[in-house]
Amino acid sequence: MSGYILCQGKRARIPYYIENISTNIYTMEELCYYLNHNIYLLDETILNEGLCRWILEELGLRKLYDKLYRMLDEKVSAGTFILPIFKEISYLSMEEFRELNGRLQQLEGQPPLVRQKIKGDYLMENGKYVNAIRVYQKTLGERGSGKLGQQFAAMIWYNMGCAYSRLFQLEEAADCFWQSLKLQDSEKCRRAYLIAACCGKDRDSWAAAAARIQASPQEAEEARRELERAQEQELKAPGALRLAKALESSGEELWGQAQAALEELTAEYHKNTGY
Amino acid sequence: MNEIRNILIGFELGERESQICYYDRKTGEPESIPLQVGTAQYTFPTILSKKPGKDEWHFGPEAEYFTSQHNDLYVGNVYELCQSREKVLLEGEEWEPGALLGIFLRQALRLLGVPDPARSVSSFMVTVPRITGILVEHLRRAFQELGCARDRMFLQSYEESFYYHTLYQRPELWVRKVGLFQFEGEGVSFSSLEIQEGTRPALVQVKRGKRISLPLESQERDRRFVQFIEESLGSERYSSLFLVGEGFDREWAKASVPLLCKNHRHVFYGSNLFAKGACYGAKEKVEERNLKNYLFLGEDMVRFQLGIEMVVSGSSTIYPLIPGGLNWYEAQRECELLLDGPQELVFLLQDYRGGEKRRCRMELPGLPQRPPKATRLRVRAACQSAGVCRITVEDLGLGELFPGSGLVWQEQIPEEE
Repeated sequence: MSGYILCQGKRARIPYYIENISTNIYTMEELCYYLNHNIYLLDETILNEGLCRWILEELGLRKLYDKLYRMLDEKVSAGTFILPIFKEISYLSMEEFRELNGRLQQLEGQPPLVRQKIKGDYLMENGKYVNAIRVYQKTLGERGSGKLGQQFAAMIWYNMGCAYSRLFQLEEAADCFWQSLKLQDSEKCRRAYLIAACCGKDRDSWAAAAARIQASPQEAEEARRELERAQEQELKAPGALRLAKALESSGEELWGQAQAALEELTAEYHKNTGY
Repeated sequence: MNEIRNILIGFELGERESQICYYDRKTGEPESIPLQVGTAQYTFPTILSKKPGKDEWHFGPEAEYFTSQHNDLYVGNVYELCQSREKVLLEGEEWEPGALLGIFLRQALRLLGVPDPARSVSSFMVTVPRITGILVEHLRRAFQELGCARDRMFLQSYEESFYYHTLYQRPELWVRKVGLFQFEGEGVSFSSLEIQEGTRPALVQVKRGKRISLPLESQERDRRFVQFIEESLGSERYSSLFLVGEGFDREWAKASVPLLCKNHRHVFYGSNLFAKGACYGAKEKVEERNLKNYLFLGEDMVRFQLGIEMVVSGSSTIYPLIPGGLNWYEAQRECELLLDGPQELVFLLQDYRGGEKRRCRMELPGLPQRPPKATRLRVRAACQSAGVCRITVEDLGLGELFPGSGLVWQEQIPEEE
């Protein structure tokens, strides 16, 4: 194969909004890319009548619309639904198709709760922390006394704690890590708990938190040093350096730089929270 | 005029005089449009004038009248103005030559007598003595002014019009070579059309001969022209000869005419060969292709084909960016492609007649690293001349999933030596 694929379809005037990743898509190529790389995020928020109508009205693909609409009526699986979309623009090679089929079979063979948890993980990877938290909460709520045991629940609590941390909701994060530790002790989780519980607080708080989870003073000290290192690293990140440089300027330039930095942070906030 | 819609137009934009032909479907022939119904005046000066303070323009003989008898501002000879990029100052406002040319063409199209020429014309071919890059730019601007669809406006040289005109005549007129004597001012030039039948499509070329000045005195003029005919035709066999332009008259050509007609040659004299040829060209572009078995090798024709090997609808193929057989000013194409692995572009270059392919690599320095199929590139290929094509590539990313960097790269193919 040559390594280049001709794009032949239209570009939509009105995009299709993918809720799960808070992103607009305009072309079949973008839709195929999203579907191929996010099979665990394929749910009713994307595979629905709205998508079918968008394909018809914005991209003018009547035959594909008819096929997908029939499939919606027949309530086929997500994996079956997306295959004609790839075929419409011959997006995947034979080998890629086989590989995708393999992944879809694996997906469909997994218990629903496992699929749901992986969906949460995908959302985390895409920076959709609020959506990830919702999915994790739903999974924990549906778990009941099922076959998926404590270890599974502990992983979900831990991941949820990470999501809260990224949103700087440290109290909630600490609580999640605590819940995870109650189900399964792990060094990684203990450290995460200490950092979330004590970030920005004095040394006494560290001692109290360490006592709660029966961590040694050495463990607490290592967690505190890890936090310090992380904070130093953050100050050297490109975004932080830009802001520092902006603060050195004045007048119009300062205003412009500050505005740009604020816009960047706002965009990231919207992306992370879905609001 | 017998046509009111889907009109095919041939427009000769001459250095001094212009004229219009339309294709009459009843007669199956191009017909010249007179300046006034019932007259035999078909040509008009290539000039434009403007009424001061108003958006009112006059062309050709109207411009001559209004500038001499009224107070119209003389804008100039639009063909000459379009030989440079220099703007024209009129009443304190600067005008691009292309815009003025567009106004001239629009005014001239009133001769068609149809209310909305832009909608009624299905193919508009302009023919000019020589094609230059600057003239092409101005004509593109003029076409925009006219408001006709871009895929309905075309351009060809006098030589190409000669080709179309000849091959639309009955075959016995071009079974052998065809000669053209073009009278311009005090001189006359010669060119010959010949067909190489051994290839498919058959290749047709117009070779330029000499140009000489002719004395004003009749006998001397005749004698010199006889000499010129002999030098130009040599011992080659010609089926027909065409004479165009002002400056030929049977009155002085007493020895020339018998010589022209020697060896059963068919001889034609007229002033609308190029306009008619343009009209035939207009027809070929949008309607039946009667000359699909022939390929005109003009000097404006791109001598190479440029393609890119890519997957189209699931199959690997060579996608033509610049196909063979086009004039350089028509040879431009744009496409968008996904990168699935490579971080550079590789083009395939081939002589227009086939033969060996050469690969040309175009690097894209600074292109962000993204996963496969997450980079969409817009690739534009446009010929700058018959030998050179400029490629422009723009990084579009993949929508909001992977925002484009906005980077643009350019390359000339073939590379300059």
